[in-house]
Amino acid sequence: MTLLSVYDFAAGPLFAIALSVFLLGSAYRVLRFILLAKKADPAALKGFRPAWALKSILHWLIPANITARANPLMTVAGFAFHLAFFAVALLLSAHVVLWDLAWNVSWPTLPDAAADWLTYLFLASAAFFIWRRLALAHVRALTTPSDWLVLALTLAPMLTGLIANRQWGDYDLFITAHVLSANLLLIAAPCTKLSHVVLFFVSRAVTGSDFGKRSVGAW
Amino acid sequence: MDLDILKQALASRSGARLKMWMEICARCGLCAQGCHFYQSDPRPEHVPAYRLKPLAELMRRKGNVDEAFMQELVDTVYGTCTMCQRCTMFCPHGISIAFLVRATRALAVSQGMTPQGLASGLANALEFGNNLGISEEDYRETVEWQLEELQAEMPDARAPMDKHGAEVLVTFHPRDIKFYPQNLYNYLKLYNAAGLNFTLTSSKGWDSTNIGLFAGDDPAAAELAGRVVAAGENLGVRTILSAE
Amino acid sequence: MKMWADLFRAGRLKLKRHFHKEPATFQDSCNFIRNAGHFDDSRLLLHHVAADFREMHPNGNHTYCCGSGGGHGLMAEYKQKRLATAKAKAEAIRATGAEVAVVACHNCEDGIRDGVKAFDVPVQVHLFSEYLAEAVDLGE
Repeated sequence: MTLLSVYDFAAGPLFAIALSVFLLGSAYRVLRFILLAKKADPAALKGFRPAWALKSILHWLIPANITARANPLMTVAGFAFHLAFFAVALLLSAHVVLWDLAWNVSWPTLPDAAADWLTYLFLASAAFFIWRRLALAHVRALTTPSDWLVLALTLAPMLTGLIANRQWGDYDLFITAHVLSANLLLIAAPCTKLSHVVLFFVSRAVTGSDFGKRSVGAW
Repeated sequence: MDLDILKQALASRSGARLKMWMEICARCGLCAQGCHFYQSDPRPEHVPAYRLKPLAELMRRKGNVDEAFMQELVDTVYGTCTMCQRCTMFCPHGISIAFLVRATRALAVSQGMTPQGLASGLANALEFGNNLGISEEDYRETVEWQLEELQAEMPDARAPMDKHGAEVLVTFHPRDIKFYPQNLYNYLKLYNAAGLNFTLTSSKGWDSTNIGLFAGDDPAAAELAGRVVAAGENLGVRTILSAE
Repeated sequence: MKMWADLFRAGRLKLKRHFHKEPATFQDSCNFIRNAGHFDDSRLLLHHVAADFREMHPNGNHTYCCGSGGGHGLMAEYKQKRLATAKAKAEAIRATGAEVAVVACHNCEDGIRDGVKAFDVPVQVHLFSEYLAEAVDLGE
C-alpha cells in the first residue's frame, strides 16, 4: 500500500465515516443527556427557562463574563484557540475545494496567508495551555494523561496541516498524517471531553436556567 | 465498607448532569479564582475541580475502592468545600461543582462515613425535629419567655402557636432557641411590628435548617423538608418563612 | 428576608431611616443571594436603616462564602482548615473599614465571627433580624 492510497482512503471513505461518527456521536450526546435527564435526573430540566439558558450561553460565547475579567490572558488564548481552529478547519481554501469537488458545494474562503497566521495563533495558544499545565501548580495537579492526549489530538492536524501547506517537509507524508489525524480527532470528539463542542451548550443551558430559576441575575 | 451499597449509590447518583459534567470538565483550573479556599490558601487541593478527583477515580474503578480511599474522599468533599456555588460562576462550562460534591458526599453517606459533627446533628434533627436536640417543651418555654420580654416593649405582641388559617408559618434556626433567644425576640418584634398574620408550629417542622442537604443524605433531607411543608399544610398557611 | 422587604415596601414594616450610624457592611450569603437572588431586597433594607453602608468586594452573586456553609459549621474535625480559609472573606471585610458586619444567615454568623476573630478584623457581627429589629419604628 502506497502513501498515496492511504491518503485517498483517509480523505475519502474514512473521512465520511469519521464525519458521521462526529455528527451522529455529538447528536447522540445531546440526546442521551435529555433521555437520561428524563429518566434519572428530572430536576435537571424541571422548570427549564429557555431565556436564561440562552443568556447564559451568550454570556460565555462572547467574553462578557467574570472569568474573562479575572483571567484576561487565558481568555484571549482560549478564544484564539477555538476561533482559529474552526476558522481554519471550515474556511481554508484547500478544505473548501475538497467539499466542492466531492459535493459540489462551496462557500467563501480565507486568504491562505491569513490561515497561516491563524494557525500560528492557534499553536501559540496551545503552547500557552501546555505551559499552564506544566508551570502552574494548581493546573498541574488537576492534569491527567487524558488531558495531554486530547491536547495532542487537537494539535496534530493543525501542526501537520501547516507543515504540509508550507511544504516544510515531505508533503505526501505530512498531508497523509494531516488527514489521518483530523479523522482521529473527529472520531475522538464525541467520546472525550471534546464533547464539550456540543455539551458546552447543554451544560450552560442547564446552569443558566437554574440560576435564572433562582432569579439570581446575569453574571 | 459495603461495596454493593456503594455501587448502588453510585448508580443511583449517576444522572444526566453528573455524567455530563464529569466528562466535560476540562481541568483548566479557572475555577480556582472562584474558591475562597484557594483564594485564602492557594494549594492545588483547594482548586474546586480537584474535588471531582475522588468521584472520577471511583467511577473509573467502578466502585471497587477501599476504606482508605473513602476516607480521603470524605476529607476532600466534606473538608475542602462549603458547596457555595461560587466556582460555578467562574466555570466556562458552568459546571456545578457543589452538585457533584453533594453527589460524592452521598457516596460517603452510603458507607456511614458522614463526619461526626454532621452525623450527630442529623440524628438529632431526625429524632427531635431540630439539629440541636431541643425538646418541644423547651421550645415552647423559650417562645413564651421571649414573648413576655417583648411585651414589655410592645404590649400587644403575640406569638400564636399552631394557629390555623394564618398567613405565614414562621420557622427558626434551632440555635436561636437554645443559645440566642434574643434572636427569637427580634423575629417576633419584626413580625409583630408589621402586623403580620403569622403562626409558629409546635410540630417537628419548626427547624428551618436541613442538615440532610449538607450531609448529602437525600432521604433524610427529604424527610426534614417534608416535615416543614407538612406543618405548613396542616395549618393552612400560604407561606413558610425560614429563619433570616 | 424577602418577607421583610415585601412588608417594608408595602409600608407595613416601619423602619427608622439611617437608624444605624456606624459604618456597616453586609455579608451576602450563598443561600440568600447567590442561590436565591435576594440581593435587591437586602439592599433596599440596608440602605434605609444604615447611614453609612459600605459594600465589600466581591459582593452580590460573587460573594465569597463565609466559610461555614455546607455543614462546616458542624464539623469540628475540619475547623482548623475552615479558619485558615476564612482569610479571603476576613480581608474583604477589613477593606471596607466597617465597624459592623451584618449577616443574614446563621451559618454566616458563625463563619464571619470566627473568621474576623482569626484574622483580627475589628468588626462586630450582627444578625440582620437584630439589625432591623433595633431600627423598628414603633411610633412612640
